[in-house]
Amino acid sequence: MSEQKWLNVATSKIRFRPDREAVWRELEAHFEDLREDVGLTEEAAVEKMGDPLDIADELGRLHRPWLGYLWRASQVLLWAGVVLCVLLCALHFYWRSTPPEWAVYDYLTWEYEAAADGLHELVPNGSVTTGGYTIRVDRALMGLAGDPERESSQWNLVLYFHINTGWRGEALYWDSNVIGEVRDSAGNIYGPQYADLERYCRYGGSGSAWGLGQKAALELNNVPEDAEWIEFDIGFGSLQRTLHFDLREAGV
Amino acid sequence: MKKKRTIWPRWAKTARNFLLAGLLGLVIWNQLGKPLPYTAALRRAERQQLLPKMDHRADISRGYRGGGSIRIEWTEGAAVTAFYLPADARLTYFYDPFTIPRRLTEGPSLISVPRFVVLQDKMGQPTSHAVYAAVFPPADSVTADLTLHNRAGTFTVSAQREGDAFIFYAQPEPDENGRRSMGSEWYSPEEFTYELTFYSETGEAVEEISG
Repeated sequence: MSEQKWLNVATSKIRFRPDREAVWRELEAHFEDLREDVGLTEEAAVEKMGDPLDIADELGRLHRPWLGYLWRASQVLLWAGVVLCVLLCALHFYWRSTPPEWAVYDYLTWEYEAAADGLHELVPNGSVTTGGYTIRVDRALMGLAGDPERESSQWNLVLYFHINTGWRGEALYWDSNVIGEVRDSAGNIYGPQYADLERYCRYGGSGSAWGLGQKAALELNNVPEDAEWIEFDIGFGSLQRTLHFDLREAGV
Repeated sequence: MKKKRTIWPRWAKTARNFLLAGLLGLVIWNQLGKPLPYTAALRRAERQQLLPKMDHRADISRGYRGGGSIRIEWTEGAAVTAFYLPADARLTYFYDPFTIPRRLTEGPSLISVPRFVVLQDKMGQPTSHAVYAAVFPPADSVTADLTLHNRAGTFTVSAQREGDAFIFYAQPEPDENGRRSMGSEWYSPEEFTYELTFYSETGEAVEEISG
């Protein structure tokens, strides 16, 4: 029997090809050692290596194919995941070149920036926990909108919230459905903007970043100057809570 | 001196690859907008809208476009209407349910569904109908009459009790050309008023509400 044939027979029961090739090479190296270091002829080396059928049975038993196939499957899955992930991330950044989510903090206030004199920082206070979310007032600004010289000027209140979204990290819907009645100490009710009311609310909310939470803002339009507090209902049924905010100017 | 590389056994490499593939799977799922099957997505939408766990449910599967269904769920103080199109689910398996939450007051309430369904009219022709659900009806009520007032006129429809709710289907009379036009006055709560009367088995009025 030739050396090549011996190797083929001895490795024939290893079903996972990469293993079969590796064992084949290893056994071939043994043959080389026998020929070059020990000085045996090819026939003598084949004789010394033993019965290839016995070795084939033993190697077939040792090299279980399923672990090899599983390993190969894990490699394919990993590479497919890497390719898909890179593709999706590239698409994500292509379509959304700037991360707009947390810019909601500026979204409702940019129009007041020009009139910095009319901005008053209030003491942030008030928080509520319901349905796995904790909603906390992070910052509050009272801004004079319009021309201060004209009678049409009005005070607008912007509340900035941090929402702890819990372990799920699911963003809270921040809109006129989830936020119920918004009212102030003077008995005024603030409805949605489209309802064409004298006093209304505007909403802005970001998505949720897992572990960091969510940002949201609520603007109340035309708040009376002498209002002491505002509060609003959030949630439905047994999950409904009221968030109370005292209007206290910072540093006063 | 060259550092000798540690050779991982194959099972460890397999486990590592699957673990990394799982983590990548999470990133991909997140990038795709965290899709979920319909019912799980509905539960998530309810959580995100601070809706409590719902005790009652009514499915309206007759006549909604594309063989879909309208699901109304309700509990004390809250209700949600969700719309489900199997065609969307078939395409992607995942579906982001469109939901409309409502606050309910104590006692019976009327929920208008902002979608029309196509049912056969008295002449056997398929026509659009507005849908209303009366939830938390009196326990001993068996039938109910709903009288609607909107800018198209006044309409009275009746319904039998279906489990925990009464489902009403209403439509306007056809115009001289035989057409029926229906707009938001049929479902927008600001654009219609109603009287709803519940009757017992003996035909006696049990309770009447209006809004």
